[in-house]
Order: sequence, then C-alpha cells, then structure tokens
Amino acid sequence: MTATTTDARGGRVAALRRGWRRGRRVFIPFGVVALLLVVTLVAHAVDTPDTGDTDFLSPASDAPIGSARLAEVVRNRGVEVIRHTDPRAALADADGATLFVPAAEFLDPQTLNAIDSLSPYTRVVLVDPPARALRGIGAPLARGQRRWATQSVSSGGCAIPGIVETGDAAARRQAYGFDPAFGGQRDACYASGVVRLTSPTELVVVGAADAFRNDRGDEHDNRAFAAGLLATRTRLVWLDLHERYEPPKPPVTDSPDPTADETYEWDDGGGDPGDSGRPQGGAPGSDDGGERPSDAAGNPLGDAFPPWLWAMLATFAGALLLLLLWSGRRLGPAVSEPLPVEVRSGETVLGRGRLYQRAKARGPVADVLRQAALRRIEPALGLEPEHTRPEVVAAVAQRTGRDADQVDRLLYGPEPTHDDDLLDLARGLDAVADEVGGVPSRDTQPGSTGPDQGEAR
Amino acid sequence: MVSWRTALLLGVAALTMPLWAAPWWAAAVAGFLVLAAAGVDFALAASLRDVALARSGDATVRLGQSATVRLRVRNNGARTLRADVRDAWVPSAGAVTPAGRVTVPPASSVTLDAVLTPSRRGDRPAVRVTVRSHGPLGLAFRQLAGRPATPPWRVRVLPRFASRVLLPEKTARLRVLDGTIVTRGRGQGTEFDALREYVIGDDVRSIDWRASARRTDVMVRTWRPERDRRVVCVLDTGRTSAVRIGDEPRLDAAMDAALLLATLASRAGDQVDLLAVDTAVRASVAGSGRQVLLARLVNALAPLQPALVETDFELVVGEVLRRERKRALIVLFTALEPGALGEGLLPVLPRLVARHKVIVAATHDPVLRDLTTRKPATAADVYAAAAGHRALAERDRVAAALRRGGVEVVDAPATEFAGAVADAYLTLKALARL
Repeated sequence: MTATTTDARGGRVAALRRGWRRGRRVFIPFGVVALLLVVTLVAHAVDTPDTGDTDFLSPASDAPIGSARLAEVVRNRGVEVIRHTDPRAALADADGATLFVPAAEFLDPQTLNAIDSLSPYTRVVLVDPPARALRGIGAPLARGQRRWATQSVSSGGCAIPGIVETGDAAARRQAYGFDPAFGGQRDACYASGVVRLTSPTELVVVGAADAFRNDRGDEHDNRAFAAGLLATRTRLVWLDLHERYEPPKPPVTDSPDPTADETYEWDDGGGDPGDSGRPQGGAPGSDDGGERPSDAAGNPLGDAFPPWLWAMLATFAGALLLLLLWSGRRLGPAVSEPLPVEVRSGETVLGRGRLYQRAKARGPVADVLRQAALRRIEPALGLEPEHTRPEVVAAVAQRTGRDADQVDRLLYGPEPTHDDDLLDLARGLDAVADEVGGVPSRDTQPGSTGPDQGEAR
Repeated sequence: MVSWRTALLLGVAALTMPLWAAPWWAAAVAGFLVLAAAGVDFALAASLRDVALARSGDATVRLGQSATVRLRVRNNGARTLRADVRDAWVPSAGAVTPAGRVTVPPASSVTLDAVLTPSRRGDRPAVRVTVRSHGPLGLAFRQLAGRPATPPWRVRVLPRFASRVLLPEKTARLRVLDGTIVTRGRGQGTEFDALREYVIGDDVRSIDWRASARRTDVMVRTWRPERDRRVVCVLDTGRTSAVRIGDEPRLDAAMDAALLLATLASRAGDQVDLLAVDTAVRASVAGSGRQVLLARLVNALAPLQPALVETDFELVVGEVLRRERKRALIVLFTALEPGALGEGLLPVLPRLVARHKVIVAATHDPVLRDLTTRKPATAADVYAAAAGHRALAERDRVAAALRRGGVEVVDAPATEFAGAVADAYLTLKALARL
C-alpha cells in the first residue's frame, strides 16, 4: 500500500515537473523580453537626472548634473549671475534680466502667471517644462514628439539671439509646436527642440537639460549653446528650485484676486472658501493638475456625509473581507478521477459514410446498395446457382409486375448523377426487395448466431 | 480561519456606528473585539491532532447494488469536537455521506456511514477525509490539509453478471446432455460410462455383445459427455473492446458472457482458465477449484478497463500455448473487425487451431443493422447505409476467413451474446468436440 502511494506521489511529482518543464519552454522568450525591458527601464531611470535633486542644474553645484561650470562661463562673459531659491524673490529681481528656470514643474500657478507679465525686455529660459507650466504661462506652445533620450542636433539656421552661430548641441528631447492661432513672432531651431516667442516677454523653451550639465557641457557645442542662451542680458537670475513651491497664504479676503483663474472660480463654486488658500496643489506629475481641484484640498464628498457613514462602510468592508475569507476556504479540494475510454459505436462507419458524401462517391455507393439488394432478392427468386442478368431482371419483373426495363435500370443501371437520384435509387431498391420478399436483414437470420447446428443432426 | 458568523457579527457592529460619538474609534474597537472573540473561539476548538479516523465496512459490491462503508471519528482530546466532516470518494463511487455538524465528546467516537452506489465497475477508492473543527461559538474553525490522516479504503465493484438469469436454463440443457434426466444413448458422449440392461428403445448399435454373452441379459453400453476438459476464456481488452454497444463497452458484454460460460463449464466438470490481454497480460486466473472459481474470476475481471492499444495476438497465442499443454477450448472474446483480426489474429491462428478448439465470440454493433435496414430519409442516410453495408460485408469476410481456418464464430447482439456463447459451448459439448 505504501509502495503504491509513494509511487503515485512520485508519478504526480514527475508529472508536475514535466508540466513545469513544458510550461517553462513557453516562458523563456517572454522572460527574456521582460528581462530586457526591465533592465532598459531601470538603466534609463538611473540615467535620467531627477529634477528634485538639489544638484540638478544648480549654479552652485560641481556634481555631474550641476551647472557650476556653465555659471562660471556666463560670469566670464560679464554677466552678473544671481542665484535665487524663492520664486517670488526671483520674479522681483528678474525685470530686464534673463530668468533661467531649470525645473519649471515646481512653480505654482501664481508664479507662472507672474512670469507672463514680466517686462518685455526680460528673457525667460525654461528647460523641458511640463504642459501645465506652458499653459500656466499662457505660451501658445504644444508639446510634440518626446524622445526616449536626448538627441544632439544641428542648429539649422537659428535666429534666436545668443545662439545664432553655435553648432550641434544636445538640445532636443522634447519637440515643440506652435499654436496655429498664435500670430506673434516665433522662432524654432535645433529641430524644434528650442523655440522662442517674443510676446509679451521673450520666452525661450529648451527641450533638453543635457546642454546645461557639467558633465555634458564639453560635448559638441553644448557649453556655447547654453551660455549663449543665458548671456544676452547683463544679469542672469537663476531660479534654483528643487521642490514644489508653496507660496505663503495670502490674508483671507473676499476681494477678487486679479490673478484669479478658473481654479479659484471652481473652488468658490464648491462652496468651501476655506480651501481657496491652497488651490495650486496637484497630483505630482499630473500635467493638468492646475485645472482641477486638488486631492490635497480634500474630497468635498468627505464632508457631505457624516463620519459614521464612512466608519460604517469601512466596517462593512471588513465584514465582507471576512466573508470572503470564509467562503474561500473549502472543505477539501475537489476530487478528480480518470474517466474510462469511450468510443461511440459505429463511429468509423458513420465517418466513412460522411467521407463518401463529401467525395460525392455516388457510383460506388450505388454499386454497394445494388449488391446488397441483389443479395436479398436472389435467394427469394429461387434461380439457378449460375444465373445471368436478364434472368434476374425477368424474374423480378415477373414477381413484382414491374416493367423489365425499369427493373434493369434499377438493379444494373448507370450511376446516379445527383444525390436525389441516389436517394430515389435507394428507395426503389428497398421497395423492390420488399416486394420480392427477400429477408429483411441477414442479422435476423436463424443460425447465424451460433456454430453450425446442422452437423448435430 | 473565521466563519460566516464572525463576518455577521462585524456587520451587525457596523450597523451601530451612528450611535457612537467617535465612529472611527468605535469601528476600530469593534473590529478588534470581533477578531479577539474569533481568536478565543479558535483557541477553544478541538485540536485536529487529537482526532483519529478509522474505516470498516464492505470491500466489494456488485455493480448496481449499494455498499456501506463506516468512518469512525474518534476524539482523543480533552475538548469536545464539533466538526464538519467531508468524506470524499471518487465521483463514480456514488457516495452519499451524512451532512451536517458532528459532535464528539472527549474520549469517545462517532460513526458516519457512507452509502456507495457505484456507477462503474472497477476499484473505487476513498480519496480524502477533511475535518473542520469549529469552536464552541462557531466563530472560527481549524482545518488542516492532511490532518487527521485519511484512512485508505477501496471498494471493488464487481461486474453485474446480468446473464445469471440464463444459468438455470443452460444448466438444465447441460443435465440433458449429462443424461441425468433423459436416458442417454450412443452419440451423447464419447466416454464410456457403464453397462446396463437393454430396455426397449435403446439404440441396438450400443449393445455390448461380449458383455451380453457373459450374462443372461442383453447389455448395452452407456456413454457420457467427456469431463475434465479445459476451457480458456481469452478477453481482448484492446481498442475494439472500448466501443460502446448500447450503454456498455464491448468488454463488459464479453465479461458477462465469460462469467456465464465459466460457471456453466465448471458445473459441467470442466476446468476453466481466464486470460485478459491487450499488449500485455492484464488478468489471468488458472487452476481454480470449482468452489472459488466464480469469486476469483469476478475479482480478476472487476478492475479491467479497455485500453486504446492494438491487441497483440501474437502474445495471446503465445500465452495460451504456454499455459495450455492439453487440448482445450479457447473462447476468444473480441470484435469481428477486419483491421484488428485480419492483420493480428489470422496469421497466428493456425498455430492455435493446430492444438486447440477455438471459438471467436464477438458482439454485434446494432448501429450497423440500423443503418442498413432503415428507410433512407436523406442522401446522408444513403451514404451511411452504403458504409454500413461495406462494414457488414467486411465483417462477413472476416468471419468466413475464420471459419475456413477451423474456428467457430459466435456473432450475436449484446443482449443475446452470453446465451449464444453458452449455447455454442453446449453444442460442442454435445458433439464431443471439446
């Protein structure tokens, strides 16, 4: 008994292992592809600098992703470099200067709005800004194709002051397109990786941060490109911002804010003035967070119902979880059992019949039916052992009173040309055999079920 | 694991949330209390380690009848066992087991009866017993795979032997042959039995003149059928035996006929052996005494199943020749199929026929007869009828080839099959051709 059970278990284990081996073969190509994908994604994530890193394009940083060397070059060109970490202070300082914002996604809507209203002599340089920031500024730009990695492209005849003569630069990762409705002056170079608008402020948007980095500055003409962009004014205000900027709460007044946008109106419509103080929060990374009431502001449904309702729902959820756990534990697994082999009777015969039909084998089928009918008819006619076709026809015609030609056609005629003819033939043969009085079927004949009994007597 | 009652308790607690000043705290406390109660209940449930299972009851049952197997649940622990017990058998065992909660006090046991009405022949095993031990409050339960250990059990389902009803009639015919009822004469056997006085009506050819000269009366010799012959039932369990005739495989019809033949032959004083072969010998019974023969045959036949392989008739013939040195009657239960017999059996048949008397017994496929005698309604019927005629013609060709080779062929529908085989045996017995 134990031997058989261990055998059975061994067999099951072997079957499992076989099944796993067979399954594993299928998974190999998928696994390789998945591994490649994961490795690529991880490498790319490691390689891409984090804008939240305090070193990122900072004029005070010597790290590979910092920009101290660029700041030095700009300074050497006689430009005063002022580093700010507070957007308000930077804005206050920026009139008539170059405002460089390496990480525009951390700016709040109010600051973005204020950038829009700087004096026309100011140049604003943004590095790879998200769509939200572009909309916040009101720039008629649309983000186009985004590349997997930064591409070094040639200038392509650039008209933007400062970089008119620079050569190839790693400037294109994000390409930009202009809103067709925009009528002001616009320039695009470096395969749309760098674009410039001139109204109301001069706004330059660069599609990649690589050219500004310490480690990449020496490649191509990157340093000249970056310095050219930043050194067109006597002062450079460098906004070194690496986290989401939270402006101080303004004193709560009901006076309409001149800079109010639709965000405020929506919140006012929500009937909760207490929330209007921090409308700029948004889900990190969401491109259109500025247009929607933030989650941080609290779901308005939260206060529409009493707290006990939520507690009740949570408790019900817990009860439901317990119910699921209970019903998920069955009283032992289902029992399986090998089923016996089952072969339907007459399977091959029926299949062969269908093959005849598909092959339209009317001739052979008619022959078989005629022979079977003759086997039924001939014993009943009482003919000589060696009889001929005319004898059979004459005997059948005489017995049934049918026309001899008709009988001959039925028993020995040409092969039917259509399924209906075949059906008629089969019915005619049946009728003739019945009329002649042939034995209906040989299976009901006596004596066929046992050994020949004649010898016994 | 928690039960539905725990979930219900928590649901009821959820309904009281409006009544509390701090609903979130109330929810946390309610959750904690309910889970704590479930934990206490779990701890109070009887340990599965102290539960022992044992089985007793029927080990064999004839197909169509019911058997009872008892499962004894013994609680050796100190706590009362409140358990759901699932006694799982294979589906074809047709087990009906008691449902509901079982309560077993400490140091006592409870017996659960499983009533089995198997739907198929063969060995039907009990697979698994699962015990779920509930706590006194019914909030939580203990359940572990493989604990307590399942006591193995196996019910052997024997063939139906429906042809038993034919046995009295066939035995009566056997007695006629034997001469216990009708006066026997010459031609009723070849073995000399006794001398007795002549009575009017006796065949004058059986008068023994030499004996008559010694006595004053006219003496006749009496003869009786030969006894102590050997009959070998060979069952082909290959692919052709898997075909279902009616709602049974051909193999089951063959078993039925073999059992009737074996019973009859053993009553006639013959020795019966059995062999079941496809590509290997699946079952064999040899040298049984008359008393235990039927039981041994039925036991050997019960687990046989058709296999989807081509039967190795070389092996069949080799095995029969090896086992039967003396002349025997070989009854080969197979199907009259040109593919299987024409290529397998016919080439090796002469070796068998040279030593033994052979009967090939096969059941009809009633589908063929239906196909060929039915009035055709569509063209498809005509094509099928032609295929049926061809199959019948091939079957007849095989049967004719076998008869030419000196083999008796029994070809009967499944309902009359067992009787036809028995009749063939009786006829041979009467003719003293065993």
